[in-house]
Amino acid sequence: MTHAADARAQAPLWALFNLGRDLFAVGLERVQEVLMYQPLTPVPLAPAHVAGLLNLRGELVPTVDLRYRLTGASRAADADTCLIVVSTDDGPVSLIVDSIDDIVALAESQWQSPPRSMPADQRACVLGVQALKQRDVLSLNVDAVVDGRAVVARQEA
Amino acid sequence: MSRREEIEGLRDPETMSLFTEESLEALQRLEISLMRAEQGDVATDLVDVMFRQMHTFKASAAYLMFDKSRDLAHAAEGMLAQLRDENSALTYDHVRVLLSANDSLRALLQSIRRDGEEGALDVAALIEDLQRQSHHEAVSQGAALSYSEQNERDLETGDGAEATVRVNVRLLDRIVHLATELVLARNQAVQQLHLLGRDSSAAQNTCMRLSNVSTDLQEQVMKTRMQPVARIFEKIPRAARDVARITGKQVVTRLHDNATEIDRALFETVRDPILHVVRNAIDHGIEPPQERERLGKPAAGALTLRARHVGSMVIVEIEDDGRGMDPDKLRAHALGRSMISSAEALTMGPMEALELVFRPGFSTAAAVTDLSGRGVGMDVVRTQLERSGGRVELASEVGKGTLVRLHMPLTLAIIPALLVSSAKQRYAVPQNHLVELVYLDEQQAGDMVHWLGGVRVLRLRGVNLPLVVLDEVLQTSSQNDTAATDLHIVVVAAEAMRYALVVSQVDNTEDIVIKPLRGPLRRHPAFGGVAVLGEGAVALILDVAGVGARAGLEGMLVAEPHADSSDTGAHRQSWLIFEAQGTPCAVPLSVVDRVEEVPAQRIEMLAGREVLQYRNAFLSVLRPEQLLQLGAAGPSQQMQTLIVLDFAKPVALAVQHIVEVVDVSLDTVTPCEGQLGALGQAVLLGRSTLMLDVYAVVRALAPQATRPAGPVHLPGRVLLLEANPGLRATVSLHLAQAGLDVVAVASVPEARAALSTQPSFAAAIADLDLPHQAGWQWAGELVRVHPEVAVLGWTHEATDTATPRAQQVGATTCINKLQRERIVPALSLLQSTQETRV
Repeated sequence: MTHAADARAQAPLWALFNLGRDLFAVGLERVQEVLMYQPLTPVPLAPAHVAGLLNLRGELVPTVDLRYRLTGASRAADADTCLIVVSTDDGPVSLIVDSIDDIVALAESQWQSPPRSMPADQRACVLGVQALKQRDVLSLNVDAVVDGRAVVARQEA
Repeated sequence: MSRREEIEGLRDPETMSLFTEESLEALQRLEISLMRAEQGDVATDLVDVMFRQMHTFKASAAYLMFDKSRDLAHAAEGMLAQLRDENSALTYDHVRVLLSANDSLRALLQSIRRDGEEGALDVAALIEDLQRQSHHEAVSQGAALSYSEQNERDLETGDGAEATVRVNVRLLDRIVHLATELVLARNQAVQQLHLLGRDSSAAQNTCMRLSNVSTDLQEQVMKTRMQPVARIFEKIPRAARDVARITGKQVVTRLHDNATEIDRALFETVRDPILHVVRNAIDHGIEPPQERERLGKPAAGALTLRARHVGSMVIVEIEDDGRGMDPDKLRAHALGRSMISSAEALTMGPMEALELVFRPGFSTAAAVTDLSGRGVGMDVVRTQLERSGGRVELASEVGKGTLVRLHMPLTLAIIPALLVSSAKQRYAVPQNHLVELVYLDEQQAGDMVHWLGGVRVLRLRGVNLPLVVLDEVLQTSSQNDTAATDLHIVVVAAEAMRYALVVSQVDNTEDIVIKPLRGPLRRHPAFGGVAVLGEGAVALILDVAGVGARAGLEGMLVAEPHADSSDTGAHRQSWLIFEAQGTPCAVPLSVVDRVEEVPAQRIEMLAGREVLQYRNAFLSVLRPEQLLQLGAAGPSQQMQTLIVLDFAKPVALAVQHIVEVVDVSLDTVTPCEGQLGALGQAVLLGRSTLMLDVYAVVRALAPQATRPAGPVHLPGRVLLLEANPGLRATVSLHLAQAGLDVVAVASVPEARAALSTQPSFAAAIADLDLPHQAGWQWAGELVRVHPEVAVLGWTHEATDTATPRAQQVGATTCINKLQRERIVPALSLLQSTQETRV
């Protein structure tokens, strides 16, 4: 077995998903489940990036509109839209994404810092970049995404 | 078969488990009753109940061949039998020895549960003690012969069907897990069905049905995990008593748990901290009796435990009236243990000084006693709580006492809440913040809502309440909302504020399971949690203080919370609150003759009606749920509480239990349309209570009790002056049905006109509640101008205060407006007196 193959064989698994033209990755151990988009309960006066509450088997999971969080724009859900429920220190949170992609092993050593050209807001939410075949995979900083403070600050600015 | 083999045959795991669990529970209940008895609160059937328990326990112990338990129970039973037969009073010595017996039996059972055997505990001395107390040494020997017959007989008779069952905890957890899995599968199925059956309404309906059922199931199953805090609390008096005894103190323990429940998983987390704080309070807080008396305090210290829900938190308070915590002493202590520097000690404020107790290692060697110093300090309490997401607060006043407040944010907590809607969203208002409900139509809104200093206020019974529109605070109102002209208002209170919250619609009251808002929604300004409702709908739980703050109410001059005077003079009455089918209801105290508790089996069916034979008469037993829509029936009880009403014929309401008597101002009753038997709803003791129209209830369920003794003939008409049209109509009808000729008027001028134009009135019923004492004046006038007309006062006021005044004015007597069935008997009395006069 080659060295690269070795590295991949031991590499941690990541769940990939699409948002806009980008391909993101979240560590598989953080992913609780993936489901089709379903209507959320809106929460008045919530931070702008929180789209509402997802009723997950009786548990109410705060849901982040990831597109809004990263770009400030929103989009209506379609047949492919999915919710990825991830675990955080303060309970599960779900993310609205465009579609689910693959589960792959990505070598730890291959992560690079996000490029300067990336807008500051987005760069704060991306831990690293790695090449996968023809595309770049962006490792999502889930905690930064979920954290409302950055968003509220932006709203009040 | 050898004895060993016989024993092994009898003691199979299931029987053993049942035996130990049931017996331990029974012993726990007995201990509570004995503790109360020790404090002077002796239940009338205590000896009976204990005797039966010991008897049953003895039989089971004998069956399973646990000799020590059998003998001990037998000795206790013997003493109790003697007490019962001779009707002797229970003395402190009796209670003491019974408590010891209880303890020993518990120890034996715990040993059985652990090792399958009774263990080495020697109960001979205790048995002797019991026998000595009962002076019947022959009992222990004579009874030995009858064991076997007794056992067989007793094992057959059970306690009767109960409405609760015992379930293995592992089985329950499995069910919870399966319910969760079912909902997951349901989600998947629903997704698929939606995609495949998009155009099929049948498929959609199936989806919905499946959805509803599984959510419902999951919620019900989750509720099985809840345990009442009372289970922790009930162990406290005993623990407190033990600590008090060891430390030479005297303590009286009071528990208020408000039926608070917590998830089973958090039981353990919370129990040890509570016990620790209790031990601390008695050990360090409460002074010895002589010192207390010297200080002018009662010799026995007061230990009070309270539990309640606030939002998605459960709060447990442990309060004592002891010496309190002295910041100076705490600082000195910390300094002495080198926990702080002298500089820190100098600059440390009193609040900070209190916090010193939370530092690890604070408890000194001197202060460490057998009980509170076992490596458990306040630091451990704080850590344990904070790990579960809770916190500990301390408040103390030197010489007055200390309050320890434990906050626990729980994943599951159930509270009663009022559901409301606004902008098509549902919200829940926790009942403990609910003051009252007000509905104003357009005209009333115009009259009662004003601008005051730039803020809209509602003037309610002379008090100005800030008006807060929920949609505005939440920014959920849309342009399309036509300005609502009538107002649905929920008056709420939290912390120091009280305000009128305007919503689109008021729905029902429900028990909701609170889930906390976490992650990016934690510390939301307006919501204290969220709940999933019956049909899978979601309701955000309003944080009343938060909503008020967002509306800018903090720091504003807000309504004085206890201002209760009404513009028209308070019409306050005492009402008796009780629960029927889990629903709070109330009846005016004036119609209540007495409250009785009878064994449920004494209520018999007679010609299709429930009756109770009572002192050679039959008491009709009515159940409010036969007429009104109430909640679900609780488990059937052995004893039935009856509210016996003061009617012509004996009649009683069968209820679950009595709650309290409160003074109610009738202005706070919100009428319910179309509910026969109910005058309306009012918020009493923080709960939405159904105010019963007793007369209507009795009339509907037992009309024979309301029929007057016989037709009444008066030599003339009856003039009825009553301002309220509804009441006027009802009473006229009632009088007419009694065979009287009634003329009903609404005002004093009309009454005067009737008297002058229509002759021969025999009696007049005067509405004494008219404004400006008009009714009183007219009554006085009537007595002077028309002495042949007997005057009856008619008022909401309590008759014991109103009657003397009415009689001074010249009226014959006074009748309470809620007791219209008394009018006819009063009139027939007039009839007889008039006849004798003639």
